[in-house]
Amino acid sequence: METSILTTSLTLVISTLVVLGLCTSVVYFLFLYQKKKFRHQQEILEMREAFNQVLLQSRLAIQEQTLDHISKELHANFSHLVSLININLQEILPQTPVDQRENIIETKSLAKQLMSELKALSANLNTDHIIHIGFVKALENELNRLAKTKKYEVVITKAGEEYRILPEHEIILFRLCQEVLNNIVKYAKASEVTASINFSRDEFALVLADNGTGFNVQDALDNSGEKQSTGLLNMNKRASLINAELLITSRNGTGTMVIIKIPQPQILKSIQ
Amino acid sequence: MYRLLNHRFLYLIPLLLSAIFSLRAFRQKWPRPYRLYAWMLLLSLFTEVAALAWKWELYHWGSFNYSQNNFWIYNFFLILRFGLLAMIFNLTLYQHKLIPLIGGIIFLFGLLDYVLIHGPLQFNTYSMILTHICIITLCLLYFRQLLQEPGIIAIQKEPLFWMVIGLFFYHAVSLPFLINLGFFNLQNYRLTVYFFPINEALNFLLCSCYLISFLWKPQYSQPL
Repeated sequence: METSILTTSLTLVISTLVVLGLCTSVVYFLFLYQKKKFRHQQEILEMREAFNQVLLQSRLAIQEQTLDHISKELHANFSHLVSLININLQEILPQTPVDQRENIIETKSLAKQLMSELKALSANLNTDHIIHIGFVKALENELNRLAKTKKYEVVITKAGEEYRILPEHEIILFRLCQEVLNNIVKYAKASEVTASINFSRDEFALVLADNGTGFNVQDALDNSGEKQSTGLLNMNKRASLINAELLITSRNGTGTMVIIKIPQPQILKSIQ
Repeated sequence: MYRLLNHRFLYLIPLLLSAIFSLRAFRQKWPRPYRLYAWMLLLSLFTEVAALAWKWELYHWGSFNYSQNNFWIYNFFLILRFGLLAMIFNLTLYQHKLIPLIGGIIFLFGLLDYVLIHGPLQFNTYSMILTHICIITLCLLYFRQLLQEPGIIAIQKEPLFWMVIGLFFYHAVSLPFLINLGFFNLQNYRLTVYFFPINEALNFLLCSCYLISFLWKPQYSQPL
């Protein structure tokens, strides 16, 4: 009788342990499966991210190509046409009655102005030209163009030892600045634009500020993508491409400040 | 009070804590299954307190002198608990068409067992076995749902997952014993006693799972 009880109780304990083991293995399998699923999801996210980066880079490359093409067209065809207009005006000038000569001279002067504007525009659109002169010079040119309109007072300050970064990074950075300046011209109603660049080995920092009307950044970010207002979205995407940190601070009536920081920039060479 | 200082009542600590933490479900307005789960915990705590109070004091309170047996409280609680669990799973599982029907039948059978077949003062093994099988099946269906979930969910942070783990361990491990309970009683009463420490450990594990579950918040499936 005692042996029977012992056997039964042993069976009881063993069966309990077996069932406990089975339950544990079910739960372990669940956790294991979930872990695998999570890893798989991470891989998908990384792949999607990489794909989006490639897509963005291709889009920007196509954009640059188009701008390059427009720039060359402006330089070759349009400038040529303006030159021809100038020559024609020069030729008809002696045969024109004296009272109309003033108009022709005025038109010639306008054609010359148009020519120089076209050249400046062409230079700004031309990727090779930007790479050749460098980001800082290109930005200075762009700001000088703003100053020439006499609507803005432009201040440029530089600190630290100036250097060049990767050409493709410079192009993206320049396009980013063009977008910011374009926004100032279109919306800010500003009278003063300041640009300060800080060259440091650890961080490249650029601050573009205006004293315009300002805007609600959060609202603008929330509305990004709607009503074709993709400016901020594009700026963020461009910044992420060069691992830059983009910070926009603005409030209604207090102007806007855009800070672009590139931590540990890939420095090509120093400019003395 | 000193009687509570015994390893047999150790499970009361996690149960009490989990019942306190479960109040978050009402305060933070968690979805309905979680609130039902919180109700179940509060009911469990109330039952434990009532059953112990009956066994120690209430059975001979005043001029009354009833039986000290508190099975009538536990049996009734187990039927109510099953009803609540069936409702929780009905709200949680996507494929739940048969749960109200089968749950309702087992619930009614439990009441019948309580009133007529075994009576309130005996352990209602028939309805107990049925509810155990039903709960284990529902737990497995919940696990299957987690495996088939198209999105991803942090299961280790999901309160219901911990509840289901506790229930699964408790019911799956105690089911073989419950089925053989009648046979053990006929053979030798000592065999039944062997199960008490196992049941204690399982009870502690179940209440600990309850406690862990209310340390987290409800998780929502994230699309892939």
